[in-house]
Amino acid sequence: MASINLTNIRKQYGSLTIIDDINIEIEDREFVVLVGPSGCGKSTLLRMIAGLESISGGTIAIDGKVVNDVGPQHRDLAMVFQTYALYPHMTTAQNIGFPLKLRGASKDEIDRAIAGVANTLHLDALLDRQPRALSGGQRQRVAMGRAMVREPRAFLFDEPLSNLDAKLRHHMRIELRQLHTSLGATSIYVTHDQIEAMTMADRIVVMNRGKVEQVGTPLELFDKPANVFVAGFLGSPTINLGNATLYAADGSARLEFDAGSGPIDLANVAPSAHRDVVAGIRPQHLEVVSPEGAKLTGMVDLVEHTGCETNVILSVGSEKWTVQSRNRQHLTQGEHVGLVFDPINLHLFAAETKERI
Amino acid sequence: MSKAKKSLVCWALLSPFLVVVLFPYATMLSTSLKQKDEIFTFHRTWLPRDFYLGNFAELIFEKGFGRALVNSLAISVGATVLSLAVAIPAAYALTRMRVPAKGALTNYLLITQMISPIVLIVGLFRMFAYFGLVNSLLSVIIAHSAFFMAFAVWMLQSYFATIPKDLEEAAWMDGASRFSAFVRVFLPLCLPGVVVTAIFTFVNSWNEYAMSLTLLRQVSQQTAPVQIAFLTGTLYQIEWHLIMAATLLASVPVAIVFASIQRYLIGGMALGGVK
Repeated sequence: MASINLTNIRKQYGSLTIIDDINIEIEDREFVVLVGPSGCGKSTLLRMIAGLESISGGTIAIDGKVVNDVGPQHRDLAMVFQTYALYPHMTTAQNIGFPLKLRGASKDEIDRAIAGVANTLHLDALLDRQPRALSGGQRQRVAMGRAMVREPRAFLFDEPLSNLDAKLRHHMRIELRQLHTSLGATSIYVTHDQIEAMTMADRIVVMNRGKVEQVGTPLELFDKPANVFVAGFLGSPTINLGNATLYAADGSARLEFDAGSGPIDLANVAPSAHRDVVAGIRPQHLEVVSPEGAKLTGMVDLVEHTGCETNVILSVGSEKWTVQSRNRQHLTQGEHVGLVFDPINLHLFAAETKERI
Repeated sequence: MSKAKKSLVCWALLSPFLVVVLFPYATMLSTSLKQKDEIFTFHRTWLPRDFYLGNFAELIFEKGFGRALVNSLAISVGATVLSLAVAIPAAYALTRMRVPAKGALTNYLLITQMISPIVLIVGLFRMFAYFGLVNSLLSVIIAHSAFFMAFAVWMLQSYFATIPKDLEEAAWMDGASRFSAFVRVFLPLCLPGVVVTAIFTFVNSWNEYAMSLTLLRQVSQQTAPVQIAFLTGTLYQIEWHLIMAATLLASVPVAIVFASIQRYLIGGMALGGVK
């Protein structure tokens, strides 16, 4: 098992910069998830770690050894591809045994290793089948088995669950995480799915446009997003954001939404000079009340009942906000409602920099 | 429309084409089994008087047609092997690696196909004469493989492009060198494409006439198409019974090649590897 250090990593195609000065330290046995919208460079970064993509600048070190010029064959990392990349002309057993065969292991050794992996991944009955005769979930397992069989220094996952249906994805998410707990292998996992990132990671790296926006544990990122992007990326439904003004009056901080109708006292915020801010509040932290006397009001656009929860989508000024409630809401479209929240759950970002205040 | 009716209609529509395709073979077969005096009779029949195999015997033992078949086979197999040996790495490089002036190279290959070989034959003859290769099967093998290579590269290139790159990358991650991944993962998946290309090259080389005629000057080195042509024009009479027997024999290896590797032509091998 290994630690992986990325120092000032850059990737350029001509004048186009894909990855811009990225520094990440991944500790031994850690499960790190790279998450971001498509095109943010997360897959490219993973492929650079794997050795499948050249490095334009900076260094990648595995266990303290710089591997910039080491080919993918010699980095001793295993990768699970989004497409699984199973060899179509080989059976499940041959697919899993392939990495050992390349290393010149004896037939006995290979058979024993295949049996062990097949047992862990419940593939025993499928060993003689070719990939085309396997379902999506089974293929995914075979790809996992091929990665596990030779005990690599680290696992790299490139959106491995994105081709599965929602139910299977949930199931595999749990299995993958359990597997990580039992193997204790360093893992780097790329996904665009924030639920996968939140549920599986020891630490999340949020990326956007080739840069790291924030690194931290899932709850750190959720509770204290460093900027508007991270706040908007993590959490479902998406955080509600509104332009507001922060100022001090009578020795306490006050917030007034542009779309609101009065100041809201913020007891937990130190009073500061007048400034423009972006205020964020998660849908779970809002409550629908009667509009009389409310400092923030909205008009109901839609009510979604998911069974457990009710999502109320409202127009607040020019923004669309969502309120998620455990109580069934009996609201009609066009109804005028007030919104209240506990100021402790408020996230404030500077209007110009979009960084957390 | 029921299924039987549908297939009946399909066959009815196809039958004129079927007649056009099969008629020459029927003529070949019928004529080759007749004796000389039976061919120019007033009342022609499809069936020969008796199944006379003497034409084949005469062709092989007296005219040396067996030798011509062996020459043709040696040249076609040689040209196919040589052309694939160069075209497979070339096509791989063009689809998988960064090759400088890739566009110019592929266009150049295409342009070579626009020139009829007959235009180049005098130049080719002089070149091979310079190297002392006239009257050597090797010269025709080299000439054929050079001419059919451009087509092979184009054909293979388009097939190689359909093999997902992930598969090779997975092999590299599993510890395979570039060459090992090529041999163990890439080539087995390309087999249908390689086989189709091989068939085309083989058949092209088997049927080629002008270069074989020019570069091989001795009767003992003539290829099958050249010898068949000689059968038509060298005597006071045209011996159709022998010509038809020869053409029939010359069709056999091509038919065998097609039949034996037909199963590789079934695509879809790569399906299921990646979703």
